[in-house]
Amino acid sequence: MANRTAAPKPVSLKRFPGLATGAAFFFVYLYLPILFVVFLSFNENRIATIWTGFTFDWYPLVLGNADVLRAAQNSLIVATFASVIATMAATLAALAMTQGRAMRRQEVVNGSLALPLLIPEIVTAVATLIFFVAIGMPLGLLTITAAHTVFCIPFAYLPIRARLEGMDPSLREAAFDLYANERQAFFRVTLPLLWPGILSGLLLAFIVSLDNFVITFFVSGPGSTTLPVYIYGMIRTGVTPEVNAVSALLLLVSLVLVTVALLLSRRET
Amino acid sequence: MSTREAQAERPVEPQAAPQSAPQAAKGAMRGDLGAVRREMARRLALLTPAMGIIILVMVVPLALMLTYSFLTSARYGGVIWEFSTDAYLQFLFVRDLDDSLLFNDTYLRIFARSFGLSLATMGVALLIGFPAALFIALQPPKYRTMLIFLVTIPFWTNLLVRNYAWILLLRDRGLINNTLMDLGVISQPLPLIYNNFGITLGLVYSFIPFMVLPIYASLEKLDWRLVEAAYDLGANRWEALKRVIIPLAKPGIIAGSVLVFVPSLGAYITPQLLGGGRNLMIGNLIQLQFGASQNWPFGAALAFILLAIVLLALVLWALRARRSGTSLKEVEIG
Amino acid sequence: MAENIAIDLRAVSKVFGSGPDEVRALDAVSLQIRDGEFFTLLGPSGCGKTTLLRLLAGFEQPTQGEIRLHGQELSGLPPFRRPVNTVFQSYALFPHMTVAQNVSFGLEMQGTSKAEIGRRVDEMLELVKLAGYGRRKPAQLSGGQQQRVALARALANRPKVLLLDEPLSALDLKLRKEMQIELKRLQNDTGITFVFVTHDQEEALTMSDRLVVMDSGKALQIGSPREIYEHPENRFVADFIGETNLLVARVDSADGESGTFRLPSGARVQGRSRDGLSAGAEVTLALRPERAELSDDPDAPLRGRIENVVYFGTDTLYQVSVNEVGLFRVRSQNVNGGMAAAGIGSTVGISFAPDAIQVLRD
Ligand SMILES: Nc1ncnc2c1ncn2[C@@H]1O[C@H](COP(=O)(O)OP(=O)(O)O)[C@@H](O)[C@H]1O
Ligand SMILES: [Mg+2]
Repeated sequence: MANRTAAPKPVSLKRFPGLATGAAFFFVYLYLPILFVVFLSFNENRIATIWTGFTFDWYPLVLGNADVLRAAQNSLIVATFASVIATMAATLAALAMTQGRAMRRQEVVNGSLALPLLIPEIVTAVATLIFFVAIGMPLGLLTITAAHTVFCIPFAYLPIRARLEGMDPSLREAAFDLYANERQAFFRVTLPLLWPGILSGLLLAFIVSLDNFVITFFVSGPGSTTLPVYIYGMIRTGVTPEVNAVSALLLLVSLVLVTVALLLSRRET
Repeated sequence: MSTREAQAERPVEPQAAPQSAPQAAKGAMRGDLGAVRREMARRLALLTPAMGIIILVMVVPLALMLTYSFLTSARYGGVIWEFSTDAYLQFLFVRDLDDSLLFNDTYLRIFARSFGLSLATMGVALLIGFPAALFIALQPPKYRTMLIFLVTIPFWTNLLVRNYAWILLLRDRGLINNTLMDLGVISQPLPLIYNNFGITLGLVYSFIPFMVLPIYASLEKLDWRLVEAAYDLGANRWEALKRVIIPLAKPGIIAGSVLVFVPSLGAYITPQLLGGGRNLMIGNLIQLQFGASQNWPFGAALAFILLAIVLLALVLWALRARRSGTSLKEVEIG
Repeated sequence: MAENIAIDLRAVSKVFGSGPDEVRALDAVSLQIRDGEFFTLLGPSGCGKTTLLRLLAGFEQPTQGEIRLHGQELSGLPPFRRPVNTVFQSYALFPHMTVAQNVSFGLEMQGTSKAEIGRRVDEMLELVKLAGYGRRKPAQLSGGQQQRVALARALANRPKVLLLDEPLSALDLKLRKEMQIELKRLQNDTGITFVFVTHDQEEALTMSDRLVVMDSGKALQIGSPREIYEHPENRFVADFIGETNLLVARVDSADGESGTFRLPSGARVQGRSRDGLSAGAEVTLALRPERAELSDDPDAPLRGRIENVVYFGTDTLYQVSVNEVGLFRVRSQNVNGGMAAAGIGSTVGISFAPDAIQVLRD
């Protein structure tokens, strides 16, 4: 007993009984549904939940569907314009909010920029619909893009501001000290350092626009159906392998873009 | 001799310093007034695009929505520009044949159910989310980042698709019922979908990252030495959890609860897909007024009531957070 | 003898990590801490003091060896089952509880009755001179007051051993001096065994009954402050505690514990060693600056040129460059109004009593 050679069993105080099981359950809960959709998209059986064999057929079928392609095209157009405009506006706002001395009403401005995140989507959808109808703007890609730009702003703003806040303010001051003017300091010092944040914000804004359903559903008109709205229509008519394949594609695009965005936002300055 | 000099000097220094510092600052401020003004102008210019878009396409529409809620409904959608409180009356009353108002709880019930479901969602999300957040916070830093990554990623995928996935799992011939029947555990499919159970499950699934992330943020900041101190003073794991970890994670727990409750209350997709259209929530009721019912003022009024409830919840939370010294920034996603 | 040993460490090692990241924080440490004594772990940052304390508290388990508390093997026993309490370096006061709630926490965990808890909390706050502060939150207290709360919280449980990890390092000098006296008083009043960690040698010397000097996970020397200071056994201890002049010498002749050593300059000096000496062996001699003195004696064992004179108030330090030895330090008491005995540049002799020489083991 006294001459023990083996190390005593470590009793880690950071371990709580059942916690790992709970966490495992959580991650299964989080990913099982997503993976299941992707899994079923390769099921050759039309009755979508009974697995009978592997097939890749649904993808060419879906990608050959003119309606799907038109919806996808609409989604890309909207997401591109909305995210680019929102990111430019958000970058300027983030510069205003982080450089120089602290402002009074800073909280108010930050709150307003986060407003689109706080207001329930259904309320925004109703308000935007009423607005476009009231000013007599026909519902279409333009109204969708305008509505998307609003809620894209906070998604672009947050990573850009985070990046700016993590940036050493004396870098900009050093540029001034070395005779750079405001514009030169921005383009030669701030912007190069800010790029990952801007790209990350742009990607996140692009994703939320691409995936948006509720607001789009309200402010889209005939001919301006986006991919999520189109998928919604498909789901309502029933569970089919085509829905699974389009859904899996949409999931894949989001997964890739968000991974890139999050990796970018984590990259060291 | 040199020491005596040093001693004689010492008391003088602290008196001299505070006099000169404010004077210098005041002088700088007076000289900089022009620069300050220029700075403000620059800031305003930079803020204009973002604030302009938000005001024009969000704040103005919200004001317009409030206006619409006080107008008269046109028969086939839209409004007639005539002041009316009918939309708000309709929320609680129906007009009898003789034009008298009879109390009607149809809509109130839908609101109550939405509240109930959102509270249930919040509770379930907390029960699942807290252990997950704690588990992640206890991992070595390099794994933590990766796990948080994994928690965040589903949030960025399509909400519609994520809810659709649950149809595949929950319906009568879905994965769960099929598996259970194949195993012989049940002979009839369990009613997992198109009821409150299905909605709650879907809502929890939709918003659980909002619960995990703020709780994790609180736990990650938690000084583990405090937990060691609790152990040192005789607390076992359960006591340490109850007396130290949970109280210190409270700001995160409250933030997470609000962030799950608020979007649940206004949910549209989940009750639509997993409630089977029979179990309405506020969101579906609002949508109906712009679809089948074509009663825009009522829809606007409902949306406004929902907004008021949500903002009230957020303001109460913000006040609490300010009092307890936590910042809203800690709970942002992304 | 055995029953008044509070803590008994037998060849305790602690290894963190594995492979190339392996860190041996403690390396076969054996030591005994007596019941009721003020025992100090002294050593530079990173030498393993905190690790040793955490093993005693139960936050970590030893990789090898065993720890006994009053004869009972502690391994596997979680911290909440050990009659030991800790005063954390950062105090680790629960920020969401009041001072009184912090102090009563341990008693509540033990299931002490409400009345008894109330009484004990008052008594403890009294003891650390914080009566009336019970309803404040830790954030509303100064650093010194927080320190006292941390002490009260630990002492309220009447632990068999109190562990203190650099408890004074966050305090400013004046407060630190006060708390040193305060801690000694508390230890006297309560009779509890204190295991105190510091990297400040002066603190260790003034406060401890006994201390251990540690380096790189090893216990180098254990003893009373006087033994450690006057008779350092090796180069590290001699150098770490106070100032020391080190001289390399050869044993000229040895006679049991005392011997004659020949310095590189050729001069011979007398000295004592606890180990046996063998003629011809090379040894290192340690000599405290205050045990040496400047002298006019032409036969002084060392001679050199004064390079620098530093006035310290109570004494003056002379740095003398001695051929083949290097810079040699001599401290002399300022008894004559602090006038320097010799100026920079002058040549002086250095002499010392035979018992001032300590022979080191390595
Ligand atoms: N949990 C740990 N993991 C890895 N290395 C550690 C850990 N704790 C301490 N160490 C290492 O062990 C050595 C001793 O540390 P410590 O006991 O804290 O020293 P001290 O308290 O004397 O400054 C150091 O090299 C330190 O880096
Ligand atoms: Mg330490």
